[in-house]
Order: sequence, then C-alpha cells, then structure tokens
Amino acid sequence: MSIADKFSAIRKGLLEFLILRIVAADKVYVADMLQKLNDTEFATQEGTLYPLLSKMRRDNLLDYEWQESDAGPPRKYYRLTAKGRSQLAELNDYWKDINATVNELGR
Amino acid sequence: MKKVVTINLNGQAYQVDEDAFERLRAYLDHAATELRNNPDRDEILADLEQAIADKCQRFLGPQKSVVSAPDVQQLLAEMGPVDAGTGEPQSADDAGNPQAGSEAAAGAATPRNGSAGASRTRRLYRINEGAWMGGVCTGIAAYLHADPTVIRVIWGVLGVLDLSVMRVPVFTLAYLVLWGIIPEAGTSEEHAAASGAAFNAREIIEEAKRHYAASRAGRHHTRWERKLAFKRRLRMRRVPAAWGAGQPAAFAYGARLSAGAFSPFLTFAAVLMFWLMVVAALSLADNRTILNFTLPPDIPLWAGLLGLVMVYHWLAWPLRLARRAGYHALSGTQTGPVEVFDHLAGIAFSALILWFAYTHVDGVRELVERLPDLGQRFLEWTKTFRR
Repeated sequence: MSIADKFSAIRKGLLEFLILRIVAADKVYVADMLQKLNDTEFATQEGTLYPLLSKMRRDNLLDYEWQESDAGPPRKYYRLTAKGRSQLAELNDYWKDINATVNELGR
Repeated sequence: MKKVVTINLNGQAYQVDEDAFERLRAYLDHAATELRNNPDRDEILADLEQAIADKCQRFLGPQKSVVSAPDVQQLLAEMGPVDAGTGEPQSADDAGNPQAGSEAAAGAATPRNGSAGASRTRRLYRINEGAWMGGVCTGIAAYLHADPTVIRVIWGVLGVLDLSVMRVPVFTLAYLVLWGIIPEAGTSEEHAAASGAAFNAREIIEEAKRHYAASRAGRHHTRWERKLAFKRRLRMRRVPAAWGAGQPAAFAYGARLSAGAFSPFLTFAAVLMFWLMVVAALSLADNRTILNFTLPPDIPLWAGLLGLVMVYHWLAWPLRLARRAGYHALSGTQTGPVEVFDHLAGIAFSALILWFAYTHVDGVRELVERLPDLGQRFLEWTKTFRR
C-alpha cells in the first residue's frame, strides 16, 4: 500500500470538515467546491460529493438557494448555517489539538 | 453508425448513441440502488443528472451533436460511483456497472501525487529536547545514533585535555562555534532528519508508540520530559495551544547553515562601515576633508555631512537586509535570541575596532585628540543661532 492509500480513510473522514471550511470562506456552487478540492490531495468526485452535501443539509449544517444563471439551468448556491458555523469552530479547535498532539508525539 | 437516443437530463434534451445510453442507464440505476434508503434520493439523482448534462456539454460542438460511448465512459469516470456515505468501498457485484467495479477504491479521494517513497535525509541539527546547554552534543549523538551522554563525556574530556596540552581551548571554542552555526531542529520533520529516520506515516507511528508508552507508563526523568508532561496537562484544560509546534520549517537547512556561518562577518562589516562613517564625518567637520577628498568651498558643511550620511545608508542598507534575513533564517521556531546575540557581538566588534584604530592608526588618534577642539567650535556655531 502506498502512503496515499494508508491515509485514504483519514482523507475521507476529513472531507466533511473541509467542505465546512470551504463554504465558510464564501458561498459556493458545487462546481467551485470540486474545483477547490481538485488541486489538493482531497480531490473528490460528484458521486461522493452530492450524497455528502445532502446529508450535511439534512443535519442543518448547510443550506442552499437556487441561483439563476444566464448560461444554463439554475444552480445550487451553498452557504453555512448557524449550526454549521458553530460546528466548524469546534472542529477547528479539535483539529488544532490533534495536530499538536501528532507533532509532539514524534519527538 | 449507431442508433441515437434522445434523453432527458434534468429537463434538457441530449442526444447520445445507444452504447452511451446503456452506460448512463447502468450508472443511474446503480446510483438509485445505492440511494434507495436516502430521503434525498430524488434530489441527488437530479443533481447527478445535471452534472452529467454539464459534462456532456463539453463534448458537444458545432460538428458534434451526439455524445458517444467513449465520452460517456470518460465523464462517468470523472463522476465516480455514487457513495451513499456508508464509508464502505464500492463492491464489484453490479454486473450492470462495469465502471463502478473497476474503480472500487475505498473512499472519495483519488490522490494524484502519491508521495514519493520514504526519502531519508540525514543532517546534523541541534536538538534541544534533553539537552544540557545548546543541544550540540545531543544533535551529534542523534546523527551518529549514539547516546548523548557518551558524546558529552568525550567532548568534556577533550575540552579539558586540549587546554592543558595545546594551551588553546579548541574543543570549547568548537562547541561555541557549532552552537552558533548548526540550526536547531524545530519541526518534527527536522527531528526525523536529525537521526536519519524516514519521515513517513509508519515511522512516525512507530516512534509515537515507543515514546508514548514510555512516557505514559514511566516517571519523567529529564527536565525536558517533565516540561512536556506539564504542557500536555495544560492543553487538556482546553487552553488554546499556540501553533508553534505545527508549522513547517520556513528555511532550508543549507540556508540556515550559511546564515549561521556568515552572520558574524556581516555584523563585523556593518559595524566597521558605521565607524568609518563616523570618522569620516568628524574629519569632514574638522577641516572639510576626508583623506584626500576636499569639499568644494561653495558647498556648505552641513550639505557635505548629509551627503556622507546618505552614501553610508545606501551602502549599509544591503548589509542590514542580509543581517535581518539571517535572523529570520536562524530563529526558526523561537523569536528573539539570535538578534540579541548579534547585537551584543556588534558591540564587542565596535570596542575591538575602536581600540585597534586608536592604537594603530595615526590619523584617528590625532582626530580623537582634536575632539575637544571640535566640540568647542560646534558650540560656538550653535551660539550663532541663539540671538
């Protein structure tokens, strides 16, 4: 197994966290989310992203509105809800703790 | 020549050939099966159809109005099999969806750059964890895979011996020089490089297991371990931790080494230039000359002094930038001691230069002896302003 494979479970687990961060920065279309993740090691596919987004919407972390666009059909425009924002803050803290622990244990 | 089927993708009509239609049908059926328990099934399927429609758009053009099977194969590979979020890898049971079977990778990510195999770098760093003074011996011990105590004993013995045998404390000076030059291992990656261990996930985990078991179970002997345990207790109380431990090293090893080696010379040059400027200014004030250069009579003295100071700043500015860059390179994860040491060194150099100039350079001694006279003239000149 290569290193990338060993970390694949971690990447999958972090995906929801990353999506919260991406949407927190700015309201986004789904295509933008895929674009942003595409340049990183967390490159993801529509088949995975759509179910995850709808699950997050059911958990009331995200919300979307339909945006009209001149070229083509209307698109979903995602934004963070208040509950999503507070959960993002908790996740950020937890992530910092884990990160510090991992770095420290190596010594 | 294949038959063309017109399909409805989220409200828009697209023309695909029959093979492409079969593949799309299989993909969407598989998706529907995966999502059968999902309350948002219809909405997700609509989103998927829309995504497929967008991708089909890419393949169509003025010369091409039908989406072919290879096109669909490519776009379905991009979309990826629908993962209902159960976290299990897609199985290859579905006879009707060959693409999903072949992409049976666990999870969402398709990593593009698999990390290159364990690259073992091995460099000499100073290690402050468990160090007595500057971490030089600990760093050398890590590099040689030896015990730090052994290295310290050897160094100590040699340090005492050379003083009595060679009259010059070679090893003590060498320790101080190394303290200044060798960079400190700040990040985990540097620690790994310090002992030549591979920096990859497995190594880190093995090392963590060794250390964690030891530190959890046993008592904390060295001062460093006690400090570490104390920090961990602090953090457990949810005090927000600083980011210091987590940042990547800002400078490469080579840059830090050369910064450490060159900084005393830069400081010496900067200090020398400053005192030369002072001497030149005094000489100018005294008799309007610097060495063989005489200020033309129609340029007032203050203009000459100003010009001198400006020339000094233009020359000294690159030196100052270089020194500041050196501070940043050497500081690593700490914030200030490098700069302090450098300024102290500057003061020492100043003293050295002044003493040397006074005792060995004639012109300077004369100038210094004329200083009181200069001071007098200056006071009289200021009196002309107090009317």
